[in-house]
Order: sequence, then C-alpha cells, then structure tokens
Amino acid sequence: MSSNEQKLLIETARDFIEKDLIPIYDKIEKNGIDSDLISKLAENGYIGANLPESEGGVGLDDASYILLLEEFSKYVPSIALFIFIQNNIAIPLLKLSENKEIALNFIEEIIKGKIHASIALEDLTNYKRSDLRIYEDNRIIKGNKEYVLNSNANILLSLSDNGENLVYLKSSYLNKIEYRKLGFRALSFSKVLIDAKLDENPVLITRKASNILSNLYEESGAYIASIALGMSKEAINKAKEYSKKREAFGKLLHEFQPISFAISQIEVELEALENYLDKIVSIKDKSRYTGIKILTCEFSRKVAKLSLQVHGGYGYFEDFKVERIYRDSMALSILFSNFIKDRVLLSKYLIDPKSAEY
Amino acid sequence: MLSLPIEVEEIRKKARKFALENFKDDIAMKYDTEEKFPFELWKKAFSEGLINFSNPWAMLVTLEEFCRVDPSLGIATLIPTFGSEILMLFGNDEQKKKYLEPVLKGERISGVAITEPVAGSDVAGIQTKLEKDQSGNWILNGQKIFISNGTIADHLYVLARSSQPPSFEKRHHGLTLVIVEKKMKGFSSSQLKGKLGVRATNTAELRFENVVIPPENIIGEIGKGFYYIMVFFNISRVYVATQAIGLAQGVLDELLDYLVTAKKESNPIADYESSLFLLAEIATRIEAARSLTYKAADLVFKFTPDPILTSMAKYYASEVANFAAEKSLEFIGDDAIISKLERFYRDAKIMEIWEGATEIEKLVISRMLIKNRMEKNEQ
Repeated sequence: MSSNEQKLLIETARDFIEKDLIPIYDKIEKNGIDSDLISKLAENGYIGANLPESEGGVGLDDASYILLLEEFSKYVPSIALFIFIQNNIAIPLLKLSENKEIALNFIEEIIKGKIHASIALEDLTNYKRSDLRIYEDNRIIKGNKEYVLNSNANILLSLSDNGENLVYLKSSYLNKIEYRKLGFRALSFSKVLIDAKLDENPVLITRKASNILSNLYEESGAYIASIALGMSKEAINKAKEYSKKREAFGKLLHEFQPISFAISQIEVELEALENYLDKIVSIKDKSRYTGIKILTCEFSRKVAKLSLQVHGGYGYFEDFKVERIYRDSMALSILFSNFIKDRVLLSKYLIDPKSAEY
Repeated sequence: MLSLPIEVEEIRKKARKFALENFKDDIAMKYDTEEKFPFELWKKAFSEGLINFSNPWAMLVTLEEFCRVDPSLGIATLIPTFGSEILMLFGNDEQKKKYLEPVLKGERISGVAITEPVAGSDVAGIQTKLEKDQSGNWILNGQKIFISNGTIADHLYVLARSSQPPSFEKRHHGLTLVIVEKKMKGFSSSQLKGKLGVRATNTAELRFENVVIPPENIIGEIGKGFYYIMVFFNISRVYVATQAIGLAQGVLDELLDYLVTAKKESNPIADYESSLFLLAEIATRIEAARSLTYKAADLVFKFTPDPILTSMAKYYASEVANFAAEKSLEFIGDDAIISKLERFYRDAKIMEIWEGATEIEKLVISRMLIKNRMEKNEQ
C-alpha cells in the first residue's frame, strides 16, 4: 500500500472511531462489546482487515495493518485488542485447521461479524499446562482454562492437555467465572470450565497444535507492539496538551524543565520505536518481534506513568482517560507476554541458541 | 532496620492480626468495586485500641501493617483522624476539646482541605477567600477538590486566603486555616468517584458559599496557615512514606509466596537468576525505604523534624512501592493480574501524588540542601 493509501486508510479509520466508537466508549468499557458493534467492525472491514482479498478479507499488508491497529489503540484500545484477537489469533488458527471446510465456514462467519472467538492466554504464552482432555471413548472434552480473554465470545479455540490438539468449543458448553479486570475492561476475562460433547465441538488441529500457537505468539509481538505504541502516543498527547494548559507557581507546566525534558525525550523514543517497528515488519524480521514487544510494552507503561504524574490528582480519576491508559498498558504487558519466556526467546535469537538456558 | 521498642512491635503484631482478619481479599475487593468507605472497620480499629495518638510509633507501624495487607482499606480505616496534628500543634484548648477530642475517641471524622481545581502542588496558589464581615465573623467562599473524607467528615481544616500577598514571591503570606463544620450553612460536598486506586477512601469536591466562620474557628494566627500546613506536611509525608513501605512489603510478601510455592512444586522459575535478582532488588529497596522513613519519623516524633529527610522518605518510599508493584505484576503475569497485586498496583500510584507530588519533594530536598550549604559557607 502506498503512503497516500495508508493515509486514507487511517483517516477513514479515525473518522469511524470518532463518530461511532469514542462517543460510546465509556459504555463499551462498562458493558462490553456487543453484537451490533461487532457487526459494524465487520461491515467496515476491520475484522479480516489483514486477510487476503481472495479469502474474503481486505488484504492489508502488515505495515498498513499495524498502522490501523495503532490508530484504534490510541482512542479505543479494547477494540484494538478485540480486532487483534480475531485477526491475529483466531483466523490464523482456523486457517491452519486440518478440516478446511469447517474452518473456512468459521472464518467467513468471523469476517461477517456473526461470531467471534476467545482464546486461553495460557495456551499462547505456554504459561501453564492445559488440563483440557479429549476422551475419545466417552466422546467428551473436559477440563478448565484459567485465563480466557474475550470469554463472552461464541467460541473458544483451545489447546488440549497433550499439546497436540486444538479444539473448537461452542460457548454453550462453557461455564465462566469472571475476573475483575485491570485493563481492557470491554473484553470479558474469565476462568472457563469446559464439559463438552466431542461430536458437537470439532477438533481442528490434531498434531503439534502447541507449536502452531507458539509461532503465533511470537508473531503477535509486532501487533502487540503497535497497540502499545498507539496507547503511548495518546498518553504523550494528553500529557503535552495538559502541560500547555495547566499552571502552577505562575508558569505553565511545560515551562518546567523536568516536565518538558521528559515529554520531549519520550516523544523521540516513540518516533524511534515506531520506525523500528515499521522496519522489522517491512522486512518481516520475525526474530525481532519479541524484542519490540518487550520494548514497547515497557515504554507504554513508562509513558502512561509520566502522563498520569503530569496530570496530578486529575490523572488519578477516570475523567481524564489517563488512568485507563495506565491500567491498559500494564494489562497489555501481562496478557500477551511471559516475562521469562520472552526474554529467553530474545536471548536465543540475539546471542546464542543456548543463551539463558536451564 | 532501626529497632523499635518491644511494645511497639507488639502493637505491630496486633495490627497485622487485625488486618489479616478484617481485610480479607473478598472484603477488599468489595470496597474496591463499590468505592465505599468502611465505617465499621474504622469503628472496630478504634474499639481494639489500634488508633491511638498517644503513641505515634504505634500509629506508624499500624499504618504500615494495615497497608501491607490492603493499602486501600488500611488507609481508609485510619484516615478518619486526618489532620488531627494540626489542632494538636496549633489549635487552642477550646478547639481541641470541641473538635479534636471526639475525633481521637473515634466519634467523629476530620479532614484537611487544601487542593483546589487550579492549585494542587502549588499550595500558595489557592483562591478560596476568607473575608471578615462587620460583625467580626469571617466569610468563606471557594472550592476544593480531591479532598479525603470530604463527604464523611464532621469538620474540615480548610486553608483559605485571608489577605492579598505583598508580591507573587510572597504568596505564602496571607493564608489562614479555619475549621468548617459540615452542618454550616453554605457548605456542600459531593463524592468524586472513578479513582484508579485507594477506592475505599472517600474523596470529594467541596464548595463554600458564604459560609460564616466564627472567630473561634480560626486556627492559630491569621495569615500563618501556609506555615502550619508545611509543618503538618512534615508529619503527613512520613505517614505517606509509611503507606508506601507497607504496600511494598505486601507486594514482597506476594512475590515471596509465589517463589516459595514454585520451589515446593519444583518449578524452575524459583531458581532462575532473573527471579532471584528481582526479589533481591525489591527487598533491598524496601529495606532502604523503611530505614529512611523510620529515621524521618524518629525526628518528627522527637519534635525535631528534618524536612529534607521527610521529603526523601516520601519520594523514595513511594517510588519503591510503585517499582515493587509494577515489577512483581509484570514478572508473575497472569496469576498476578487476578490477585491482590492488581489492586496494589493501582493503589500505589497515588502515593507519588498526594501530600506533595514527587516533583515537590525533589524541590524541597534540593533547595534545602543548597540553602543549608550556603548558610554553612557564610558562617
């Protein structure tokens, strides 16, 4: 996509976000993402945005898609994460399904906004071994998933205990215990208890599903980075704007060195990170995706903290929207990351395959 | 660590027991969700003798242990006496009898109102006006924001401008502290909801519309309010530092429990150097913050406060609390995001803001260090 086309894409997205999402975003954060909104996201091509046109998607290249995610993340980060789960986790998993006919049907339904998927984070981050077991003799699937994000979805794509199988589970077979959420509050987050009939919940992948998920997890680093950068950009903008309005001791806040120095430096860091992300995505250097995720997640927390501090007491309240970025940036650092695993992975790429091994 | 008298350590144990019994996770979550003040916990802590101003060290370790179990409930349980030191130090006998005694008996709630929509860190920039009328009363007009106990306090110690300052540089002149009762005509308050953390505490916006303040409700001398508040900050900042070390210690408890459980389950994460380094860094910083805080507190309790040490303690301890919460949450990951660490992370941030933002503490430290050196050089 040319830079002019990218510009048009972002302007169109911003127009949609400003008119259709920002006015109701507080409500969305409180009540969740409803089916009307999902249909709207689908109608506008945001679900399936990065899927080739031949497969029913919009066919955005990675560099453009990352800009799109960043734009959503600035103003409506929960929706950016929802789009990410559908486009970068659910659809790629379904595409790798051994049962092509069923999978293509599900993908079509997701793109049309008729269904949406949830994912157990422990399956992605390999944080905990799954106890979801397929009992062939009794034709049942039984077990628990601890950390299911977007758990109000119609389906859960879930890994079995041996790491070989990926199962498609309909929501009617799931019992949920909802957690209180630190961030991305529009997305439900639950422990899910599964007791399902095998004949009604197809096994999509029967071999090495955990490896497929690990690859997806690694690749997701670039998209998570774009969400982190979008939130960071908004946090900086808010800090900058507030520092130009708020006075203390007879001066505007930005006239104080520690504030202007910190904001300026962070602005430069943001630019450097955006360029780095663009570069590694353009050359598809996936060995750097985990690294950019670590850097940008840390960065977004740092920026959110600075922005909240600049806002003082006002920043601590939800009205100024900085406290939301503060929560979301920390949540993003946890939900799609594993502190040790990510750093081991990075060391192996950058130093030696034996680095950080135990 | 500075060793404290045995009786103080006994109170520490009692406070911890109280907190463990009363600040259980489901209770803490309920107050956090509902943004509700825990009146019954305040009363209970009083009835068990845990709010006792006759022993400041006991108050300090009680606050530390309360915040270690749950910062939001811990602060909320003890905050009803907020501002009492102002009357202890600058109030007259009548004011102490009428306003201070019921608070120290756990019968009433007090508060301090300084911050305004246009003046937070810049205390001298407040605009609430106090003007004398012909009858000898004072008339209060203005607005305050982010006031702890704002809608639950029976009375508040309010800072207002009683005369124009001689110059911009001397804006701290002409400020006066007055006692405002909630039943006074023209006073109104509304709770501010939607805080990031410490959601069991009550925070409010206050309005004063021609509130008549009788002369007996003036605290100390007219025009000396700024100095009184600065003295009060020397005390309250030590307590904020204490909140922070309590919170940080609570985070360390969680991290240690996590690693000990991992060790028992032969999970290699317990032995990774990266895990051990993080644990060591957090534990060391907490110990340093505690030493600094206790040193500052020791001087305050001996009536020889050192504003440099007080500001250092508040600045450093609040930074340590945020460091500990952020790093532990990130390290433990999914298990932490559904645990009390999530609340600790949200609760920690306010400690870098209230009772003097970190930036103000840094200015106090530096300016006083330079001033002291200049004075020494002149000798």
